[in-house]
Amino acid sequence: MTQRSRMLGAALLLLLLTIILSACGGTPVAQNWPGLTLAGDTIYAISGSPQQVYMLDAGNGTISGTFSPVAETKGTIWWSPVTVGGGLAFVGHTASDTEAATLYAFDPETGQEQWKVAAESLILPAPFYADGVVYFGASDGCVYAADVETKRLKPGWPPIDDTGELACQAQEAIWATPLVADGRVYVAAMDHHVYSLDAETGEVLWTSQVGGAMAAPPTLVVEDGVLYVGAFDGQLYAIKAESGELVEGFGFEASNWIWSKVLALGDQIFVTSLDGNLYALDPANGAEIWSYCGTVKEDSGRCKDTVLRAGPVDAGGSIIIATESGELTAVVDAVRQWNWPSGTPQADILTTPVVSEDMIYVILMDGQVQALEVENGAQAWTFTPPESK
Amino acid sequence: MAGITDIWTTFILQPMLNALLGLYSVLWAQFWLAIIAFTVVIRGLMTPLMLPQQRSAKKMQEIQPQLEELKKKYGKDRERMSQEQMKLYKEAGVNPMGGCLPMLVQFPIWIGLYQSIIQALGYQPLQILGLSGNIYPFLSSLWVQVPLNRYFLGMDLALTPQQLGGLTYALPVLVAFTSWIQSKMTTTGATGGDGQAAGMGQSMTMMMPLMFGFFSLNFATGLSFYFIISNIIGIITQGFISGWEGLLFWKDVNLGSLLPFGQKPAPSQAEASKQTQTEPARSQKGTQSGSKKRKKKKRRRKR
Repeated sequence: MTQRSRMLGAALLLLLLTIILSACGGTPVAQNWPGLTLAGDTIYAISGSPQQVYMLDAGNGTISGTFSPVAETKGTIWWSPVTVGGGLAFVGHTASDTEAATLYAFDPETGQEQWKVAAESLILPAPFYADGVVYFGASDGCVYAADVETKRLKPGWPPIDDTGELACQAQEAIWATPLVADGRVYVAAMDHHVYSLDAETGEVLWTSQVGGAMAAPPTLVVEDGVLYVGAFDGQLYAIKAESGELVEGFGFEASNWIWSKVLALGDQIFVTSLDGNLYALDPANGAEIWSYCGTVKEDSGRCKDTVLRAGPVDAGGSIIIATESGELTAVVDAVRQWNWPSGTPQADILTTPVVSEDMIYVILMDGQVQALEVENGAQAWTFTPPESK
Repeated sequence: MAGITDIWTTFILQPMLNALLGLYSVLWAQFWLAIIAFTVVIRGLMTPLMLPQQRSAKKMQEIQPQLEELKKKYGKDRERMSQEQMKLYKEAGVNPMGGCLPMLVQFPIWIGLYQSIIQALGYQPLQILGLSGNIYPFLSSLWVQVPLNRYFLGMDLALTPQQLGGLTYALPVLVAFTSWIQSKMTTTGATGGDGQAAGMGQSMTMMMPLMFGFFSLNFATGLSFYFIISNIIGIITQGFISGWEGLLFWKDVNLGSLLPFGQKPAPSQAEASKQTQTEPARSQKGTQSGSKKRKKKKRRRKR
């Protein structure tokens, strides 16, 4: 082998290595877990490849329509979950290549696009509809509000400063759906703050600082006037809805982040944590009443090999939880009632299931939607998006 | 496959990620400072591996005259030549493959650091979800740091120069430049000769910086910080070991050398005098044989 050919060989090897490593790293593949919404008799699932909104008959899983914007994109698309209200369905759509973020309003029965408004950044959380206005948060830290009648953004949403620049409420992204109640908008943000805004003007009424980032919306217990919200510091916070002050004497800490929405039911509140536990707590002080771990509870408090991103769901007497690894379990007072039969082919579940009177609907990470009977977990139907059949 | 992923996560990704987060929490919540501190720590840990290589490079420079002697003596007998070379290397304590080990060790560090940066500075939920599982339970105090400050002078450290555009293209250039200086300082001796090692050395001096520049173009800008700081530390330590001549790069810059099949670069004064002393016969012969071949070709064409 000559010197030149050796040099050429070494150069080619380095080049190959460079290309391989660049391919390994490169641009990160952006993903989110698929949205799942139940409104009336229709399931709205973000599914398929490329993803679009599938409208499914909740009774048998047949496709009643689809929605996908006309805009072509070659990059990744981020969809928010769908929200239905005021005779329209709303969904956030962001194309990674053009970074065009848009909130679409479409006909909830036919999937026909009605109108759209643009945002400045990724729309990841589901919008919230209240009194003719649809509110949504974006990754620029702004809360947007679109008037359904005028089909345009309301003045002051998002706030603009004197120089014409965005003056977002939060300093970090908003990944949690806003909550609207009693003329106020409550927003939990990644900047460790909960904001209360005037639902009409957008004026900030109060801000409340907590110890960690929040990606789940607050839950309001109206009779107590208290907002419950979990954070990435593992703590659950109780905040007075009127003033934004933390409720004195309330405290609960999980063994990992809390990413799910709190479920208030009767005289208890329920929350799941990435530590794999389902916790039943006293809403007055956060004291643990019971907890459920489907595997073995480690000394650290974590549930072995279990992660619960999806929130707990009320299934009329039992609480249903779905683990990241695809286990579905119905729990009553820390006792397991039923779970998915082992060996069922499943993909990860990160999306909180939705429940109707007698059925529970789950969307897997691969876009498959399954309907099960609440009483015993028996499978009623399965929807597999056409592209991944 | 899952086993390999678990091993990688446990032994590479998690330690690096937690170290970065720990540094971030004590360095005023500045991720770029955490990367710089992390680089210094890694270079410190790698000193036992790097120092012998750097000393070996210096010794390589010192034994160049002896190598030239060997070339003169055994130039035609390749086998004997390589035997004698190896003997000389052994006597001088030079390991010609010494540069490979630090390089091999650094590959997992680069990949691990890239993954750590992407996960720590994740801008979408799945990345951040992965982060929660990789922070050690006993470092739960780091949870409050999320989301991390991902900017340095307005530049997003998790994005690539291609995504950011503008002045960020200076980073791959800086990476390639510092890498070139470092390679040049390390291989000054090896490139001085005319043998196979010299050829390889020259090739590496050009290829490695280009490779790193290309990496930096396609990877998160945070990784460029690691490369630049690591190269600067390498330059400084090499300077203390074998002198600072390699830093005077403009003396030896010859654009012709950048062309792989172009004109052979004009040697520097020192090299030129060395070549005239050691290789007159060979170069003459080379010229003669070349002209003879050309004449033969001409004759064939005439026929």
